[in-house]
Amino acid sequence: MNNLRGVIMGNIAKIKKVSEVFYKILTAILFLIPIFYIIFWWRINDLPTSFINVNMTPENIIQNKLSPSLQLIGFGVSLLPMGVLMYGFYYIRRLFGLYREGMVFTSDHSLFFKRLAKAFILWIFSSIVYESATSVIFSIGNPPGSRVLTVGVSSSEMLTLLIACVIWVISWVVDEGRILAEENKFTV
Amino acid sequence: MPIIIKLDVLLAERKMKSVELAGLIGITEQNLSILKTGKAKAIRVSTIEAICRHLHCQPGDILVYEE
Repeated sequence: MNNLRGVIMGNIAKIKKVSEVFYKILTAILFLIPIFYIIFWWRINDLPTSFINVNMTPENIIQNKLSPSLQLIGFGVSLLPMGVLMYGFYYIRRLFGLYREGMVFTSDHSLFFKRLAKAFILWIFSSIVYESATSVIFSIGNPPGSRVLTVGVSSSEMLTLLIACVIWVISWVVDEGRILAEENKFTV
Repeated sequence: MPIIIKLDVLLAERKMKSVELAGLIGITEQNLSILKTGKAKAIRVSTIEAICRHLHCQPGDILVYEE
C-alpha cells in the first residue's frame, strides 16, 4: 500500500512540474496569437510565402497589394478564427492550471475538455468562413472575371472533427475518473 | 447510515488519542476523522486489520449494523 502511495505521489509531482512549464508556454501563446494576426494583416503586402529560401527569390503571399481598408476588413474577419483559437488555448491553459496544482480529476476537468471539443468544432466553421473571406479579399484587386470565392471542406476539417469527437469522449472518461477520485477520497 | 463506527468508544476504552492511532495504522488524522464521523464510503480491509491489531479488538467491535 505504501509503495502504491509512493508511486501515486511521484506521478502527481511529475504532473505538477511538467504542467507548470506547459502553463507558462500556453500563457505566452495566448498573448502571441492576437499579435500574430495583427502583424500578419498589417504586413500582408510584404510577407513572403516562405522565410527560408535557397537559390530562389521569395514570392509574396499576395500578388496585388491590399489597400488599408481591405487589410482592416481582413483583420476583422480574422477575429473569428483568432477568437476560437484563444478560446481553445484558454481552456487548455486552465486545464494545465489545475494539473499544476495537483488536481487531476475534478468536475472542472470534464467541463474544460468539453469546451475544448467545442473549440475544435468552432474552428472548423470559422476556418471555412475565414478561408472563403480571404479568397475574396486577396482576389478583389484582380480584373473582373478573375475574382474568386473559395468555399471548401478538406480532409483537415474532417480530421479536426474527429479530434473534437475524441476529446468529447475523453471528457466522459475524465468525468468517470472524477467519480472514482471522489469515492477514493472517502475510502479509508 | 445503518453502519455505525464505534471507534470513539474503543479509543476511550483503550485511553488512546485519535492522532496516536492514526500514526500507528499509517493513515492521516483527517482520514481517521472521516472514519469516525461516518463520512467514509469504503474502508480497506488493511485499515480494519491495522485498527484491530492496535486496539486489540474484533472488526465487529468497530462496525455495528443498526437498522
